[in-house]
Amino acid sequence: MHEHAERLVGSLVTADRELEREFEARLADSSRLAFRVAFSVLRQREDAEDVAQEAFAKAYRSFRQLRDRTRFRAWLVRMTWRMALDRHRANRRRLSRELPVEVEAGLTWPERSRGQTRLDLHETTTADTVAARERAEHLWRAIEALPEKLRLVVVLAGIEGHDMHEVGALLDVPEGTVKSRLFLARKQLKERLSWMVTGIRN
Amino acid sequence: MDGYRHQELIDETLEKDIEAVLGVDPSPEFLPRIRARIANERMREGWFSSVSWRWAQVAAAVTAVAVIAVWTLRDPSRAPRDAHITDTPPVESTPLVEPARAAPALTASSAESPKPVSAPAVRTVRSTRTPVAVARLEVVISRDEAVALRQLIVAIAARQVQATDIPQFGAESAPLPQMEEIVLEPIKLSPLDGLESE
Repeated sequence: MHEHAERLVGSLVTADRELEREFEARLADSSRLAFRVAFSVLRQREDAEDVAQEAFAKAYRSFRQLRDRTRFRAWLVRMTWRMALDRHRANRRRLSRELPVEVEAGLTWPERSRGQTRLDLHETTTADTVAARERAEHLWRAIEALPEKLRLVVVLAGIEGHDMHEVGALLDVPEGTVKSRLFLARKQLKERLSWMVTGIRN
Repeated sequence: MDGYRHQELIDETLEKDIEAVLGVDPSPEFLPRIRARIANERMREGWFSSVSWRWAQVAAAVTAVAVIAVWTLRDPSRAPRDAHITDTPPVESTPLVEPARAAPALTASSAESPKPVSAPAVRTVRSTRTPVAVARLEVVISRDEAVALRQLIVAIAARQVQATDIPQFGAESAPLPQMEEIVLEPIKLSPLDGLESE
């Protein structure tokens, strides 16, 4: 009886360790994805890291109950997206209260809220970088103006080198739906960024 | 063909721009911070599922049961309820016999005479502790009925009335008188003179 109990406890401990190891593997695999999803909404590194961290903590708490662990990434993406949207709304409400103070201090919303992107890594004094920053800012605004479903497809297709099939798996929608959503999103983006398109033509 | 090439170029540029703005990496402290947070969660979860926590839960449950049991057995509502019963006005719990005088006379005078059943019941009401028992034994009758019953008992005791003459409740009493059949004659209406002539 005692042996049986010991064996049972031993198997439980082993299962726990197995679970921990599995979660650690998922964390290493998906941490950047969660961060980028959060960043695509928040455009601020610290906030995005906070949200991604919170999403992982939540995922850890419910990891045991997750039936299909192979769908962890999809689950994490959706959770992070929701949480980031919530944080974004909260930030907007807070900023609308604090904005008069910032304007006095010579700061504007895009300057404060913009995260450091690859386009920002160069010297900010050169004309090219200024132009690139402007382009990036316009692109962000255009992405933000997209409907939520289209925006998520654009974001997921634009990060981690996801193809249509992977985006479909992450969103739990057929590949065809991803294709049509991406087509619509690009069309709307091109319409909004007509000045950039004209620049390419010229 | 040229238009198609342009379109492709636009799509490519757009895609590259999107990848550029989204291609941000987290800070190097990001992953260690998440790991620390997860470790924190693990510790908390570990404590909650630990044996000591289980024992604490069991102890709390036992304490709660004990408190409820003590509270129920003490029954703070008993004292005022007893007081209420003993304070019941005499109209509601009228003794059926004279408590001090009638009872000895009855027992001494005749063995056949019915015993005053309700007299001890009244006393039981006053001495009973549990309100439920009191409620069952208490006989509530009107004052007139009580007086009539008392007179009857006294009369039986004085042998003015034989107990056997009193019809028993539930026994067959005198036969009911025969019911006469009621025959209803049909009502005949004679037509009015004026109408007949018309």
